[in-house]
Amino acid sequence: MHITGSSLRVIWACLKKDLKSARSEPLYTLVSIILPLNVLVLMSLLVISGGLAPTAVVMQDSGPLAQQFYTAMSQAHSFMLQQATAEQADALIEQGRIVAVVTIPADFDALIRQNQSVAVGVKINNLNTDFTNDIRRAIPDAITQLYQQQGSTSPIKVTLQEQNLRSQDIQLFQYSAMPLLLLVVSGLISSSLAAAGEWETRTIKELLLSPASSGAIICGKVLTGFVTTVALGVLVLGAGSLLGWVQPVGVYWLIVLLILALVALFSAGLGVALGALLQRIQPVGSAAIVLALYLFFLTGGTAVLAFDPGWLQTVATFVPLYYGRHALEMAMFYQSSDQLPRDIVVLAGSALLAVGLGILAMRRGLADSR
Amino acid sequence: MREEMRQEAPQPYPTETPTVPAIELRALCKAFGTLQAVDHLTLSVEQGEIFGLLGPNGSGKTTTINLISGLATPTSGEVQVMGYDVRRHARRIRQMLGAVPQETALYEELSAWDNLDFHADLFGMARQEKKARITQMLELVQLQERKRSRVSTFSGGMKRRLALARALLHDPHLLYLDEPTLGVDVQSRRAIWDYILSLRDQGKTVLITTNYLEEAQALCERIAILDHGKLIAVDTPEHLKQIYGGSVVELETAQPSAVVDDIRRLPGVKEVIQEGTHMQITTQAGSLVAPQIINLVTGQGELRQIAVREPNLDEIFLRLTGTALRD
Repeated sequence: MHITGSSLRVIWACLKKDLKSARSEPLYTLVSIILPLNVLVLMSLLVISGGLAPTAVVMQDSGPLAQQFYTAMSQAHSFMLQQATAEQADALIEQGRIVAVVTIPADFDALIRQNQSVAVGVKINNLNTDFTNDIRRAIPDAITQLYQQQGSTSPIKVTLQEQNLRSQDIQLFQYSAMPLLLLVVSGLISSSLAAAGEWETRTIKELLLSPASSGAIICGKVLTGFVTTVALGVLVLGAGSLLGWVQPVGVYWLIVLLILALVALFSAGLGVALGALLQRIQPVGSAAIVLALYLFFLTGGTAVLAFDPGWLQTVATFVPLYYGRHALEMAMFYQSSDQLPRDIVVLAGSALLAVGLGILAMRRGLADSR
Repeated sequence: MREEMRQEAPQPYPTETPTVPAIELRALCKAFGTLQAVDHLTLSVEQGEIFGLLGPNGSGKTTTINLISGLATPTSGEVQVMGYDVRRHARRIRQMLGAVPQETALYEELSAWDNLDFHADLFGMARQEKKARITQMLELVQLQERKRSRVSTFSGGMKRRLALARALLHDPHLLYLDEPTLGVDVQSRRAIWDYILSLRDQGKTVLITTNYLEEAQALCERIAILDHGKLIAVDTPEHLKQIYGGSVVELETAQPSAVVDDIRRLPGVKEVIQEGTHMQITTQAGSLVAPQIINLVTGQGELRQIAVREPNLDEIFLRLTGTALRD
């Protein structure tokens, strides 16, 4: 492609103008920042509210085995435990302030030593299946832990030997910060609004009546979306790094930035196409938000995609951001370049396709406006 | 895109030969499906002329303008601007054309300065020239003190003036103004008229479309009247009145006159409107029927007042198109 100096000036002028417009209309910019932040807040709330079940433990036995059982429960990462008397525990569960009451009977230690069965009482407020199932899974798990701590004297001979595939544990909260980066797709909101605005405010006529080539004008539009999206992505990446959520090392910083740039180009092209097709700010805004959210969730925004149903995984493989997410996950958390060439090729191809779509839609829009 | 990228950078237009018409339309046609928006329009606008394009809504004015500026492609016929064929030299023609579209097409969220700065960049103005020229244009339209204000805070008149400054920024040979004073207060309207008249003194060609005949009469050296895409008439406002006008006789009688039918039957009378004791009689051009009208009226009753005047452009327009301009 041969680009003249005057075309470059027009591209630069369009970029400069759109950035000034974005600065003058901070609402649109805010929307594209608030959306990913909002998802982060929602996910944090989900983690906080859905993590631990508040449970009262009535310790009728204070023997060492009863204490060990209590410790095993507290290490199960499922309970938020508090000790209470039987009366206090009943009052708490009646008031709906706890999910369950676990009663360790007075003869707990003695019965275990005599190899006799012990009945641990569990009273569940089965209002919420999620919490109820957590209790149903975690108490037997605590019992198993208790037996395993007995060593060779334990009647259970099966023990757990854990081997971790990854070098570090990634918290759900931390994990959600990674796909958050992909929400730079919300940059498609800003680029689509910038494109649609030219038609809605009829300033498209100023562009059409100028001697500037439509090619240069379109390049300027795509570049604006790219620059703002990369800036937003780098901002989120920087914040994530400062907070310790993401820790790429050495060359993996460059890989992360490359993936971000490709995602930004993809979203800018898609945004310009959407804006040029719909040509109205309100429908473009709504469509861009819906599209961004779909892309986010389809790439495993709230869960590990590999654990999702097969059909959902198949659908996700057709979403280019799936590959971006994979590359980012590898680079940021595990300093790995596993399948990186595949991810880059798919992302780069998709970005070019999206830019091509943007150019086609914009050219068609300009031609129809003539 | 490749094709367009390869086109030459916008060049300063060459010194045009004054004998070449600023705009030349030959048998120009534009159809949208079955609708003939412009129908075999042949028209020539000389350089340095202020030319008015008049017509009711849907008459083909905007389509004609779009064809001239290369925003639309003719179905058939030719358009030349400063001797250049629009189809082959669209970008060169746009470089020579300054436009004030009806919707002004300003970026409301940007300042006056930023709007002009962007326009200068689109038209490839040299950096060193740009700043001085923007300042000059803002002074011309008296917006220098508001150069950093957002356009959204401007009144309708200020926006029109800014759009005019933008259109003049790259020093175009041909200026097109679509309803230049639409929604503008009387004071600003007068100021804009003065700017437009001063452009003629600078040798610019100005093409105006307007719904205000008073404006056309005040500004335009020649007027073309379009209706249903066809050229109905083209001439100076004075000639139009002479050719299509005739005279208007206005009478005031003591009692409502009973000779209206007799007056209608007189040769040279085109139209008689009676409202109580007031009568307005439109005569054909060159007709000398006024004495006969006076005889008929005075023979029947007392004539209190009589006035004979030239028709205004509204009346000519109504006569030519069968509709008022603002219909």
